[in-house]
Amino acid sequence: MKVTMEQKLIDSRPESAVGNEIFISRTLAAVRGTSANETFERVMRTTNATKKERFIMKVKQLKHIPVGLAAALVLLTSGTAFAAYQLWLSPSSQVRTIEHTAKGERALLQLKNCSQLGTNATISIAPHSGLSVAQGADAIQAYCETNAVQQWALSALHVESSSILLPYTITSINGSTMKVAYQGDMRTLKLAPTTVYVSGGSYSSRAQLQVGNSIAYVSTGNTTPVKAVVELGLNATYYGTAMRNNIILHEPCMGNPGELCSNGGGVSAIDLYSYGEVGANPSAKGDWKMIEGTLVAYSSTSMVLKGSSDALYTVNTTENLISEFNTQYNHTYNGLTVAVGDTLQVTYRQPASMNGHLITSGEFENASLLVTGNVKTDAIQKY
Amino acid sequence: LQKIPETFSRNLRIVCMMEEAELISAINNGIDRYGELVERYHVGLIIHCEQLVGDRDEAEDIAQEAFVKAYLQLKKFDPHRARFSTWLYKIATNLALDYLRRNKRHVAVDDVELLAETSMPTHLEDEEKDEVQKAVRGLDPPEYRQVIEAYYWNGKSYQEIADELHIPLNTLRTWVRRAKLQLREDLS
Repeated sequence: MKVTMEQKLIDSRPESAVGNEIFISRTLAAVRGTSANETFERVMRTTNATKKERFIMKVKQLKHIPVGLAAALVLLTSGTAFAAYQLWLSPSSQVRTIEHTAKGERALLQLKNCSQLGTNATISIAPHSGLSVAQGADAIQAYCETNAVQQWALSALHVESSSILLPYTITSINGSTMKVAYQGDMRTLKLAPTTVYVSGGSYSSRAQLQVGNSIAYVSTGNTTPVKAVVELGLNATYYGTAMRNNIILHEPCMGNPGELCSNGGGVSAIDLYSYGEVGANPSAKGDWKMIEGTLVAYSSTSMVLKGSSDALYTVNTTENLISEFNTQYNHTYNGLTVAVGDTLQVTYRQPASMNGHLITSGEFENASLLVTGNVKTDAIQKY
Repeated sequence: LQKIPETFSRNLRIVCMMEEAELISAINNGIDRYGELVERYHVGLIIHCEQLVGDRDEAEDIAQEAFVKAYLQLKKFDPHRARFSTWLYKIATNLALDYLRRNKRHVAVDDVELLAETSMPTHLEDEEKDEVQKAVRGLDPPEYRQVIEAYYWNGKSYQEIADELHIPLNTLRTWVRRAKLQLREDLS
């Protein structure tokens, strides 16, 4: 049997991965407390009691900074003379043009020093978000800066991505502690001589940090000093997921570079049909491709989508996806129904050389309805 | 909170150089090393159970029960005839089927067994594992890497990850799906 992506991911789990320590601890307690004449029902009863506490009793595995690296960091940061070494170039994002579309304003941004997105990006703002295009451009700049910070921390400090925390705003600095907050999440950080300070992409010093600065910090445990404090260039709100959840990035579609596909936190996709998380259409072969378009017509086993280039794509399926979703599955989405005019994304497989506008049922993998979600209420609206 | 036993926490980070058969033999001889097997297989086993029963909390209970059952029957297991993980997953699959029947779900046993087959443990060569790890590290945007690592490697549930990242569950599902598509492309 073909090995699925999930099986590959699970088998490739690094030995250094933290794992679910509450589960491990609970299971070992059950193993040790269970003798052969005890029933499993008793074990099950004892485990349910601990389940509700899961969120407040996380045990974090503490990892210690390698001695050599720690020594190097002390040398770098001690005293007033620290190397003016550029760790990354500060990203920037400027609005070049704005286009008015049926789904709101769409802006072309010119980017600098953004390794993730290149030199240009097309964005739009989620409807009803109240954000301006200029704020969207700042959020993209923050996104690029976030990536730069993460890349640096992952490679220089050898931490896992979950150890990089942002954004926060400094509320006070006293002695060896710094208090930070973001949207009600208040934290007290321990500083140490080994803590690295970075500002504007260069090594900095603690003296340069001020109350009100927005920061990212790198920490591997609640009780150990933070490894690094990185001053960010914009207000903390631009780095939050709440802001990014209102930005829609329009990028060349996978396998269809002439068409744009929406990405980013501003849109979510509801599956109308999928061969599942673990499998794929067994008859589909070739490269993975994606097309996004407005649904202009559909029948029982066919959909016609109009892509961003105005080209029409016919997608054939073996089942009446839209009717089935509208009558059987939409109750979990507050009765949302799919109709002409909605935006769909279709994933399929075709040989790389083929660039046809007909996607057969043998090539079809998945279709999703694009929606925008409100983070606070998780209420969804069609995009 | 149950304190993690000292012997287990001391062993947790030590790379196990012992072959699994030797490890199982050691456990059967009373050496407290079962935690290494739990640590090694729990993330995949929970995901396997979650796929069968469709509920994370129930999946964790079933996975735990499977570990306990495997421990109690470990003396009967012959590591030279089968891999421990395959045996463990089969125990969990049977427990999941029992659970589905007990809860009067309409269960097509063939369907569940087929689904179970697609998430049984596999054994990749080290080189292939390195390629997968490299592809995960290269996921773009970095949030894709974060969610893949959190779910498949760090054993967090979708709900926990969504809460930590302050994103809706639907967005998380979309990220995971897109990350896997990207991985398929990178690894093809």
